[in-house]
Amino acid sequence: MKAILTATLLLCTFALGKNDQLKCSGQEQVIVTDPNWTDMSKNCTTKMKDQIQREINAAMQYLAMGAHFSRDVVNRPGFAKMFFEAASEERQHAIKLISYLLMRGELISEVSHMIRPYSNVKKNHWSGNGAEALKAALELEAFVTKSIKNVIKVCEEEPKNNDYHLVDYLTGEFLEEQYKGQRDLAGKFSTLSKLLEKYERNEKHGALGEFLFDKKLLKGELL
Amino acid sequence: MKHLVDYANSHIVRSFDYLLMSTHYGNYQKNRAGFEKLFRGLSDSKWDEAIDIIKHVTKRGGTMKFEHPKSLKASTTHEFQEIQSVAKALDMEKELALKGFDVHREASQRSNNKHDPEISSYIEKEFVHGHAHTIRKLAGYVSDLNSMLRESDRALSLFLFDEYLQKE
Repeated sequence: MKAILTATLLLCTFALGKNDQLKCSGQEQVIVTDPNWTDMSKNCTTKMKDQIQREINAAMQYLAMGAHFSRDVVNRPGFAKMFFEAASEERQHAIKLISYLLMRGELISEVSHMIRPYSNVKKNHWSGNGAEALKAALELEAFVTKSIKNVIKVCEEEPKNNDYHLVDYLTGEFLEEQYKGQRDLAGKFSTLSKLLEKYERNEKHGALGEFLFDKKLLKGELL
Repeated sequence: MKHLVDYANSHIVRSFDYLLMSTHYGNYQKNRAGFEKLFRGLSDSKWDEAIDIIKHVTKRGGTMKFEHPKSLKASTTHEFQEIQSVAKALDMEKELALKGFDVHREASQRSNNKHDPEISSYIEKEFVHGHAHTIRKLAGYVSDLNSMLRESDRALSLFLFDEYLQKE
């Protein structure tokens, strides 16, 4: 009996090595016939998977920004907190998109290539001051928004297969959050820029403004 | 500090490995909510720990560099059979624990001017016990699955074990 089990496991490993999952399922005597119920188009699914990677890229960039503002020579704990939280939020977005695809019967195989955390190597180190960071964050969010709109467009314009439900989900949940987030960042960027204006005209950094702004960020006192 | 940066990056890589393993169990054909939950939980904790380690790198004056750790083998697949997935998780946890030991060893070289009690204490306090706990838990799962799959109905064993994991 033990020999048989080992053989079974070996067969499975072999099958898995070739990414052939069905062979393996056969070994555990579970026959899953395809009930043919899924209806997402391939183009749309591919776009959704790309979007998952983009959310992960955003998460990784925010991590790098959080790490930068945590350094003792930079010392902006408010900015660091904001960016670490943003990183976890972007990761949550990726997970939400994955859950959606699972709900629609997708991601049955080949999930491994969906996420590559270090594919955006350029961003492995981030440096800049607070205003530059807020601007970069705003640009990043705008890029993500544009990319979501593109997913919507592809999934809506599929001939004979307008994916109403996904389009509604992306519009109602994701775009809603994107636009609110962008307004928040844009407001913060304006506030900080005004604090720094006088200094920037003299090509100075505006250390006091950034110091104050950072402490307010840390305590959540900025609207 | 190099080892601590490597430790943080290893947590990030493994967090996403667990996320993909969890994803596999969430598809409608595998449909094992318990395994999905187990790996999702591991993914979440690796992610949170990664952020904590990054903060600690900067706390100690280091600079975080984001890259895939050279010493860490990338996973080529995330679609495993139930028992294999738990065994894989066990391997990954042991590997992470050993990486924690590397950080600790580097910080404990008392005679080589590298003695750093703060770092070794951080690893001891925040990581080694957690690693031991997770490794023991996963090893127990492997034993249970192994004995059940050997003598009972495979499909029923996996169904019931998955249900058990859902409530853990």
